Amino acid sequence: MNSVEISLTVGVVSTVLSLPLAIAMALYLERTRSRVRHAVQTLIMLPLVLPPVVTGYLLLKVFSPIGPLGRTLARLGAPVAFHWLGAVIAAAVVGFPLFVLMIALAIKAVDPRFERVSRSLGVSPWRTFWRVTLPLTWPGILAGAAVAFARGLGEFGATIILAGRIPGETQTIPLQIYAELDAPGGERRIVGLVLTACAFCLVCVALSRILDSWYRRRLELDR
Amino acid sequence: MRWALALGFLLAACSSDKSASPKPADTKAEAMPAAAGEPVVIYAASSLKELVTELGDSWTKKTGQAVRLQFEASSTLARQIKEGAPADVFITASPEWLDQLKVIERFDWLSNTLVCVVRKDLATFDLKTVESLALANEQVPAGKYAKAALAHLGIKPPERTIYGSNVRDVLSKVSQGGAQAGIVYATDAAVDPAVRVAMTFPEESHPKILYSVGVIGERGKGFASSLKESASLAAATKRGFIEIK
Repeated sequence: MNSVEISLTVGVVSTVLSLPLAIAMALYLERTRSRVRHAVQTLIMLPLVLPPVVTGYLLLKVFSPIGPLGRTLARLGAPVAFHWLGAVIAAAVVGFPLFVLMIALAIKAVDPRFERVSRSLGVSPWRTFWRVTLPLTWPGILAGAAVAFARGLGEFGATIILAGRIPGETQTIPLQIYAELDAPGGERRIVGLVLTACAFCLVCVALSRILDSWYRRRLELDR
Repeated sequence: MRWALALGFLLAACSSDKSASPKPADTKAEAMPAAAGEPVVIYAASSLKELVTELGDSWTKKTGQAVRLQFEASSTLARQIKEGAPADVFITASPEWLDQLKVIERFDWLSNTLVCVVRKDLATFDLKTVESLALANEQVPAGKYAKAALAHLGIKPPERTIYGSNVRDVLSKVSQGGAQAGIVYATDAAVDPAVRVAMTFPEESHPKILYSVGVIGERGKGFASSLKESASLAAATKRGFIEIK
């Protein structure tokens, strides 16, 4: 696989993997009155501001191939450190705060009374989620996914620490650009990669904007 | 509500800016306590970290002139200097990285040995059948020598080759368990207690490893010539570097 294919695979897998967790977390943050949620929110937002290399280092300490968890995962055939799954985890963790933030905004825009009415009519919380919350928020969730995907595509600091640069396996677009910058004549070779990265991110952010304003109009919030 | 989103984007932009800048956290600038006058800025290949730190210390003790040290792959440092980084002395692990810079004077200084290291707990090892190998990027001197040595011995690197941005990065990939083996200099192997030397590459298997000193700024002249003194050379050989005849 070339670095563009690796980046796309890593971006898609990390976004899909974190989707259910991000929805659950956003629901929790928006719909609970518990005081604990402030602490949870602070923790979740951490990778947004933490230097990515610190995130990567902490992840490497957790998944270290010479540590107990890393050894077990390697025996199960799914090592994370220095493996393409490491690039997935790095992208997922770093993109997670934005993902949750975007979904939380979408959920916030939905009047909680809709859900309360549904519950009062004896519908289970699970069914209420599928029949009320999700139909009202899915464009916002997709907008979040687009942003998380874009953030994952750009992940560098945590990836190079946790997954390393293995061409054909963990060498994503930013990692290849980084390596080529030092190589003689490398600057000419990265033009395409730089343009590709810009194009992907532009599309994702534009898509997210469009979805965002669309569902707001749908909810008659943009007056 | 909107501001939160704006903030989110802003923060994300900041953090990705940080990642996209050429050198994130692995650039180590170590400032010495201020001494008289401007410090002499020394850029040196990452394999020289301990040796040049020691020599810088004794230079400051002797002359009162402070030194500022920066260690990275020679290729990275050469690019930074070419782009205007304020180095007075540049010590590269491969002379060709001095060729494209304007130097006041230059001389060849030391040599080294190329070795293959493995984690201490790895019992058996054969470079021909190793599952994963850590190498320095091709343009990094250690990577160039390693590639030549592997080609000379007719060994194809395994499919899982993990590339380090400098020779010390290669060393840490091995000690962190990222690769079974890695190709570094003998002097690097000596500073990491987690690894052992599994094999030494014969001298003729790769271009001669040559550390070259280039004086870029006038201020660097004194320190550069002190490197040729016998005390400096003795400190180098004590750490496993080889004096060139």
